[in-house]
Amino acid sequence: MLNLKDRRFVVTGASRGLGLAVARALLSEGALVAVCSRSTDDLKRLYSHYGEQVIYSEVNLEDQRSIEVFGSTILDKWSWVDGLVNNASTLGVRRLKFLMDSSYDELEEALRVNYLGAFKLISVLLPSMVARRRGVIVNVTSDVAVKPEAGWGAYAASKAALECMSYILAAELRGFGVRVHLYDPGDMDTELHRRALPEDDPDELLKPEHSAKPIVYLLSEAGMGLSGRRLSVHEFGDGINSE
Amino acid sequence: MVWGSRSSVRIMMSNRLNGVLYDYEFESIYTHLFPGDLLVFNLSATLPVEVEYGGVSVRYYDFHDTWCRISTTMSPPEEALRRYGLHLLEEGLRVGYECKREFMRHLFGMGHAVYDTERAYPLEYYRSAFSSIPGSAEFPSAARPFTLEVVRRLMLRGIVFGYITLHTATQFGGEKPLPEYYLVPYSTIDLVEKARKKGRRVIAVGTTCVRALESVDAGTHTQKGVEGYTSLTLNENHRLKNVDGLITGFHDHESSHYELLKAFQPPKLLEKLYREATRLGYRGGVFGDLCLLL
Repeated sequence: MLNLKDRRFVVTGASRGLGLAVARALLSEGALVAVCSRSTDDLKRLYSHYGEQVIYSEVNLEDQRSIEVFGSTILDKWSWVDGLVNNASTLGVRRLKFLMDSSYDELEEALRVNYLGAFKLISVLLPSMVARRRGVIVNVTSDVAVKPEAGWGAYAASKAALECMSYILAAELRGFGVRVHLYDPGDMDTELHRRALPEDDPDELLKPEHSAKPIVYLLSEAGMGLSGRRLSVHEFGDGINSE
Repeated sequence: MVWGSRSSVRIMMSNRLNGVLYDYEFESIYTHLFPGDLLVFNLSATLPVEVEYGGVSVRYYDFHDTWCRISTTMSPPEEALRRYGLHLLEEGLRVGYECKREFMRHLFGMGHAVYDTERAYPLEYYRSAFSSIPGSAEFPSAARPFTLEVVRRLMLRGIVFGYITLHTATQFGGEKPLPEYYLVPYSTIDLVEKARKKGRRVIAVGTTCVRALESVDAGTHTQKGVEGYTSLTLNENHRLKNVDGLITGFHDHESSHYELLKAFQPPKLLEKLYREATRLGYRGGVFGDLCLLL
């Protein structure tokens, strides 16, 4: 048992893919989950299924005020949060292209959403974790941040920035009982992956539900001692939920 | 004014027992506190409560599920309010709304923080390391210089941390203290009692914490703690029962905040403190320097 009943978690980018899978997994463990994405249609479905366990909000991570509204709504209702999953991310570009072929805007969009957006949400929610001396932040990263390849410029750079920030935060927050995890979910069958590499066979890709399990594990007490480490889905193997 | 680290301000310590003033860099504060001393912080976070409607400024405070109080110099045009799903419940006093979440969206979209500087800064300037629960109309600013780095050093020194929530109210040009919502959790009452029993000091960070803590009478709390609205005003006749010291900014001589300081220090020493601070170039305001009254 992961013992997550009534614990309070925030998951960004929860309308599809990995975010949705994480939100569902947490909800089925009995946790309270605040979810956001750029459109609320899919989030409403979560709300209608799980009711008051869910807070949902339309959030544009490029817009600070939108992030502040989301954070304030959550803290007004819950007073604190136990964990945050920074999952939302954008490629920045419509399809992969060389760095020098990308516009400044495309580079900036990726940085604003994947790096600054995550940082701003952390800033809003962290005080409640620091005051309670407990909290977990899981930042979802990608293998291209450590193995950069041609074409992934905007996205890889923003994820590398997120990784660097996570290591620093993990060190700085160690004394406050707040864990910061970096998690690489592997190549999944998601819309982002389809847009980046449409030629990949979906059957060979990981299912988001599979990649979501380690995040739930990290959010629980079981993740103790793993702060400040970069973990990938492949390091977890199967069946961690049954422990 | 606000550049540099939040903790790079000065703090003047004033001790009522010997009447001596000390001028320090705030970052060295941990050297002036002893292990076991209790620092009490306000968890209330500041909202952008000031909104303009066709040239009329309105400030919102005391937020409930379907209504909140307002302060305004003249009545806001009802039509303009209605456009944002708001309606006047009591002329110049209360405004109603359908849904608190939508109202917050309105505040964050149109409003700015109440400011005493030449302009309003972005919202993150009005957040301290412990600003968690949204509800304050004016920034409880004394905690602002407590950066995580400073907090960490205080923790290593063995300082104990306690928390209360008090949502500040606001009024245009009004220094008359309004009733404010507060919550002192049981855990904090327990920490205060323990500290006092052991002869350690209870130091409030900000006047809001003094107001909340002094509103608690020994033995009256429930298992949750003490929650409600406080109209308590402090002055030199008040005998402090739960707090020994205060960290706060510099206030106007006419303000109720200044009167509150007199509960901690004899008026003469307080005047000396303010004179000395002016001589040394201390800055007032929410981004300014601090004093520690013991």
